[in-house]
Parts: sequence; structure tokens; C-alpha cells
Amino acid sequence: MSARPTPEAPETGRARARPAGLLARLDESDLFYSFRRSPIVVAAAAISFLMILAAVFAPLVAPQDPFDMAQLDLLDSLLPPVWVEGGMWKYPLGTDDQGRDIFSTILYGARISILVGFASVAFAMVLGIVLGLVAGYAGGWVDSLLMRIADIQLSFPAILIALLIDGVARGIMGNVGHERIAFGVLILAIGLSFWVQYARTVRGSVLVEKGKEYVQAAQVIGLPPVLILFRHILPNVMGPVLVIATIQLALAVITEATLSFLGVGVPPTSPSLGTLIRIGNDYLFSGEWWITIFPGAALVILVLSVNLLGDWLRDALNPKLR
Amino acid sequence: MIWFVIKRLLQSVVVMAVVALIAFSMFRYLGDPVNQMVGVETSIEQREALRERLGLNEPVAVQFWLFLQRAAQFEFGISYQHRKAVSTLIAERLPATLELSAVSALMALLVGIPMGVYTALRREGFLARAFMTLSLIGVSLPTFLIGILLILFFGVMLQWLPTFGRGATVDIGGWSTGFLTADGLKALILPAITLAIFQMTLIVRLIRAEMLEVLRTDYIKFCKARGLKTRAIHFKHALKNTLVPVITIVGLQLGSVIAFAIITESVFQWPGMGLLFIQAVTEVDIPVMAAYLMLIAFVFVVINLVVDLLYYAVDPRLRVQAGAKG
Repeated sequence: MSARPTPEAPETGRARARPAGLLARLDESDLFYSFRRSPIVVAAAAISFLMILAAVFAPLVAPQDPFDMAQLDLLDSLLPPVWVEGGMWKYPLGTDDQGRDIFSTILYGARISILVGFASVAFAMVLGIVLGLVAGYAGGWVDSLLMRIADIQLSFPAILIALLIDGVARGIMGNVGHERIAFGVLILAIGLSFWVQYARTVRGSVLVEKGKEYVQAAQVIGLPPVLILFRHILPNVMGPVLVIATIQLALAVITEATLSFLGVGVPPTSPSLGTLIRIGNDYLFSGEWWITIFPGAALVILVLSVNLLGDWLRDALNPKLR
Repeated sequence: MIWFVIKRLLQSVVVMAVVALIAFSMFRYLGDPVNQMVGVETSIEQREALRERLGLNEPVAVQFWLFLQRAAQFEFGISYQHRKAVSTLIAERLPATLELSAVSALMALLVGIPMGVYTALRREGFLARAFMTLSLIGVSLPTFLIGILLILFFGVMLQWLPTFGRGATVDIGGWSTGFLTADGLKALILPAITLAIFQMTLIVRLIRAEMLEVLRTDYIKFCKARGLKTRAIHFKHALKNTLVPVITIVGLQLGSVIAFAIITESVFQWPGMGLLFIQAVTEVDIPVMAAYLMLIAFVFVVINLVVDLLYYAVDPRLRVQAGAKG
């Protein structure tokens, strides 16, 4: 891309953001109105926000570092939650077989789940947007090739594709080498199985936008296609993309948890919520239900609130439903 | 019509060829097949002889052709992990997965369709809202967690139902079925519910959306104007047209049921193909992975093909479009 300054390009998007009026404008917007009107959505937003915050700052929030051996006391292992007989206030949700505080492991686990979720959605989004823009703008054989691949991939479930990519990576790296790059492989696997939705949506919107006057004007003044695509068309197709991203964040977190539960996700040295559930599953029959159920509950609450947000965003941005 | 079928068939062949190429590359380039088959004390000459016998010294294109021929007969060699022919392994596991998938799909349809229709007809009702909330929770509950909760409740706390394995099975001409023993049926309940819930949530939401769409159309208004009974309008006219897209989606879902069976089988230690596959992934058992991939791809391609052709047969509008183009 050329570094030539383009005065015609609408830089106004950033210039227009008056800090003083921003809050007022947000307050007046339709989106915020529909947000305020639904207590469930507000609660979902608050819960997602709190959980993400608590997970990000896990080392500060958690009462114990579950991976610091010095802080663990084997005498405190397999303690039930505080409201069950034998529970201690020191470990509100009980402890696992190594004396780890379940509450702390959940915070650390959620951190990894959310990290992988965001990273894979970001990866899928960038890949999907770029391919969708190219397919929609270029048309012709590029378009049909990309969309055929998308069709085919869409007929296979994401989890199967992710499993396969993981299996191939294990084949190439060996099980030991795989552990070192497990995070990368996982993000790649989930991202590659999710790009299609973005690509299809973006392509559809590009086909509509392509015929509009502002694009023709940009073409006439000789802007390079890359600039037209990313500066002019992309901002106009971002609405649906954001909706997909929100819903897919929930899906990505579920997929990560599932893969980790199956034992092919994150390495056991940095357990996510899925890994915690897998570990706890072994204790289900001996009556230590809290090792599984609390990480599971955390996962469901996180996914449910993100799903609720996604549902609301979809309806709020859909002009047909206004 | 004939052109549509031919085009669709060609597309399926291309997909299978691509999948076969992936499976073949896995075989050929992930690890050395010879190393996997021989012991430590095998001499270099013996290894070379084996290499020659397996055709690994041929040009890659020839090898791919040989691979295709063997794949067509479902010959994928010996499993690295189980030391058994892959085709035998899969044949042993196939009945378990198919029985589980079929029962769960049936359950999902029998419960999901009435629930979906009800939520569409009584949109504002309390029960309808409860169903929709439940379905949202269902979407947010990962399959493996549903399984764990069911195990905890019915297996550990109430101790009513077995929580792992298939129970006693009866062998009928190489097909081991769990349908004929009380033990086998009991073992089937929890895994089938687990697998059904995931499909059910989708079916409920789909039926509701489609039904609402149909109820808004003109011909339903005309039905009302003609004074037909509400019951007749809903179940004779609206439901019929709702079911067309639903059949398609449910048909396509059948494929994902097999994929989600991997998770269910893993939770309940159900001895099906999914459990075999997940073990193959963790142990890098390439022949099993390749065979499973080819089999699943085949199932998917066939389902997609059948659904497309059925759709074409059921929906006259598509025929008109194709006729106008050709």
C-alpha cells in the first residue's frame, strides 16, 4: 500500500469523536436505549464483564496461586465447599486432590479459556473478513473457489475440523513437541473452523456495497482496491461481523472447553475450564462433585451471558425488528 | 434436472477426492509407516523389503492411486495402537455409534417438533417462554457437561442408571446390538439423552422461527378468511410447509450427530467409533484417523447429496429456477 496521504479519505471517523459529546450521544443512541430497557441484557453484560475482569486479573483476585507448590497444603486436599460440613472459609468452593482452592483454579482456568476464545475469534475474524472482502470485490473464479471451499467446510462440524487439525499437528510435532505449541495449534484449529461465517457475511455485504455511489466515486478518483476495501467498504459491513463475533466467542469458549475435556486442547500444565472439568470428572464417583461442578457452572454462566449479549446485539442491530 | 444431478454428483466426487488427498498425505508424510510397523531389531534389508512391498518406493501419484483403490475397499492397513486391521476395528465399533445416533435423533425429533410448534403458536405464553429460555440454556451447555450432570444425578446420586459402556449386547450376524437386552437399553438412556439435547435445542428454535415465518404468509391469512378452523390451519397448512426446511436441516444435522457422538462417547466410555477416533488423535494412530476421516466424509457427502436432491424434488420453485437458467 502506498504511503501517499489521501485527503479525500474520510478520516473524519476519528476526528468526529468529540470526547465531551460522546457519552451524551451514547445515551441518546437506539442501541443504548434497547440495552437499558432489558434487565436481562444488562445483567448478562455485567456478568460477562466481571468474569472477564476477574479472569484477566486472576493473580490479584485469586486467594491462592494454584500453581505455586509452596502455597498448597496436601492436608487440605479434597475439602468440600464452605456450606457443606467439613468446609473451610479459606476455600469457599472446596479444594481438589492436591489441595488447590477450586475458586482460584476457576479464575486461572477462565483466564486461559477466555484468552483462547478471544484469540481464536480474532484469528477467524481477520481471516474471514479478508477472504470475504476479496471474494466479494474480486468476483469471478476467486469468488466461486472461496465460496465452494466455504460451502464444503460448512457441511462439516467445526469440532471435527478442529480435532483433525490438532491430530495432524500432533503427527507432525510428536506428542512432546506438540505440548509446547499446543496453544498456537488450538487457536489455529478453532480459528480455521470458524472463518466461514465471517467470509460469507462480509462477501454478501460487499456485493451490496460495491454497487453504491461512494464506492464508484472512490474507484473514479483512482484509489487502489485495497484502500477502497479496508477504508471505505469494511466500516460499513462491520455491524453483522460484530454480531457473529459475539456469538462465536461463546462457541469458541465451548469448543476450547470440549477439546480440552477430550484431552486434545491446552497442555495440562496450564489448565483451562475444560481441563478442570476433565480432571474433576475422575472424582465424580467418589462423591467429590465440587471439583467438576463449579468449573462447569463457571463455564456455563460465562457462555450463557455472552450468548445473551450476542442475541440482543443481533436483534438490536437488525433494522427489520425495530 | 439431469444436469443438476450430474453437477451435484461431480461436486461430491471432487470433495471426496480432496478428502482422500488429505488422508493420503497424512499416511505418507506424518511419520514413517515402516517404522510404525516393525520392531527395533528389524534389519535395514527387511525394512527396505517391506518398503518395496508396501509400494512406498513408487512415484507419489502411483501411491495415491493405490491408496484410492484400497480406500474404495475400505482397506486402511493395521492400526498402530491396536495392532488390528482398521476395517475390523471400525466394523466392531460402528453398530454402537449408529444405534446411539439413531435413538438420540429420534428422541430429539419426537420432543423437539412439538415443543417448537407450541412455542410458535403460544408465543407470549408462560410455557413457551420457559421452553425458549431452556433452549438458550441448552445452547450454552456444552455436550460434555450435560453428560456429566446426567451422570452425577442419575448415576451417582440416584444410582438408577449405568454411566459407562454399552451393557450386555447381543450379536446378530456381526452386528452387536444393545436393543435386545434390558441392560443394554438401560445403558443407552443417558448417552442418548445427552446427544439428543444438543439437537433438540436446535430443532426447537428452527421450528419456531420457520413456523412464525409461515404464519405471517398470505395463504394462512386466506385460510383464516375462508373460515377454516384454527386447528386445521396450524396443523394441516402451516406445519406442512414448516417441515420442508426442517427436514433439510435435520438431515444435515445427522452428520454433526456423528461428530458430537465423539464427545458423548468419550464422556460415557461408549465403545463406538468416536471413542476410537479420539484415542487415535491422542495416540497419533494415523491409519485409524485416516479411515475415520474418509468414512465420515463419505457419510457427509452422501447425506448432503441426498438432502439436496430431496430438496430439489420437494420444492418446485428450485426446478423452475434451474429450468429458466438451463
